Amino acid sequence: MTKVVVVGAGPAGIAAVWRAAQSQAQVTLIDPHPRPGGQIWLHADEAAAPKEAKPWLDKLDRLPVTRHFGSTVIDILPSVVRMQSESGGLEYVEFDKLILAPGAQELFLPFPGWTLPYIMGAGGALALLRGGMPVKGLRIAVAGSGPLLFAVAGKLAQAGARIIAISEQTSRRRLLGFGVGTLMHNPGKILEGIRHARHYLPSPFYTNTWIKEARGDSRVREVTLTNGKRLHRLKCDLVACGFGLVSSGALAVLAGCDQQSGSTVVDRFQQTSVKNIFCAGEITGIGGVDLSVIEGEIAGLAAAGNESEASRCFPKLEKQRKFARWLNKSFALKAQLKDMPDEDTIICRCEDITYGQLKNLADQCSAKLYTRCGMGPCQGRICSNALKFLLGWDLNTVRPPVFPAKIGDLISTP
Amino acid sequence: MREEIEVSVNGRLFVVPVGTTVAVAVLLAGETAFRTSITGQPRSSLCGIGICFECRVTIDHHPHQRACHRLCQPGMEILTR
Repeated sequence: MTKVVVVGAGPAGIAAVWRAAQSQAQVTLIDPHPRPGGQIWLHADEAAAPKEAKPWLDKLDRLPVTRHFGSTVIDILPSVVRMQSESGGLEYVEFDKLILAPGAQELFLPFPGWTLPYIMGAGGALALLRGGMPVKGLRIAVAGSGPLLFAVAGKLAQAGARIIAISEQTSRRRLLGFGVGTLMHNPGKILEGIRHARHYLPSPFYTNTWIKEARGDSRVREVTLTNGKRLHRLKCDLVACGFGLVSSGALAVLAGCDQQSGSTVVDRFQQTSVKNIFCAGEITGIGGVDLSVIEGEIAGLAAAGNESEASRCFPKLEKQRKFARWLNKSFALKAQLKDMPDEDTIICRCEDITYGQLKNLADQCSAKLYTRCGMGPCQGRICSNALKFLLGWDLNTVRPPVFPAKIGDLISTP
Repeated sequence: MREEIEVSVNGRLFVVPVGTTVAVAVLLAGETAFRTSITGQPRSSLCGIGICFECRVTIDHHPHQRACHRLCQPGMEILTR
């Protein structure tokens, strides 16, 4: 029996588990969250699971799979992953085939004041909302880029928040183009968009606009938006701000899988440059939930040795990839966003390193040596993506443990 | 109606619905800062998904726990700083 280990219990991971188990593999699923679903299908309890997630979550429930929720993979060795359970203890899980489906994270671009409490990611705000955060009556500015902003504005408004602005950095023309493209390639998404819009309309909506600064005391009180010429100063209680998604690739980089443009390279069976490691979902490039599910199915089938069945999924894959390319082009980040941080803006939030301390350094390695930028608990997960955009730096060194572990645990499990 | 449980945040007791994350319990308690940064700034939850480590709190005497990743349990003691 092939031992397949799947890391990540989002759409791609669940699809991979299902297909691998169906192909008689012995499957283990590992996810850092207390429950399956990943970010997009995150839910506070069974009843609150999103409608489209239910069939998958039910399917997962019935599968004969070993589950480790609340567990974080901290290292990948040739045929074993090292994982840290919620209580902190370390365990090894052996694999013949490993499927990495860790998903995506938001791109955070620093601006003056962005470290104030109640300034959070757009997806971050959504995650907290689903965890039970009360937003009724809060004045919320949603800013950044990408279709996630509309979904977030819709959900927050539905929960009783007052959306005082939606600020999208891309131009009106590109946004309209995206709408037309979506209508052609993926009409279901338009309906989804309308459902969200029903809640946040008629909130002010700005295109070609980004955050100039935020001010506050113990929390954010005011945000200023700009289009490079005019300023809009708004009183607010919460800022939900994200500039699109980037692949969460640390584990694949650690395992030595080839990378290209910030994502892990895979062949048509989702196999990486490392023979027994597969990747599925946003880690191979940002493409959304439908693409993730198909990639997960292919990876699960291929990892279990069922390549003929896997190849039947190829036509569906191409359609979704086309949509993904359209999406990424429509929300490409404009160069002016590089001017958002000023000298005193903190870039590395773990070590409190400012843009002024970093911008004249040669690369990420010098930044680490001179300032400790990227060496705190998050291990550069937030700042390295920002610095890639701001200064073109590439972070290509990832060392175990990829998430903080206690030295006592590392020593006691050889 | 969802079942409720009691947790303490900085020594004060709060009732939260089952399934509430620790991060949300901290916000419900009215705290704006989860931790203090190395230069003394107040910080709170940023990513909401366990990667930024800004929502680190002490849970049942274990420091540096990511509040967004943990669900409230009956009697849990949560400390911000």
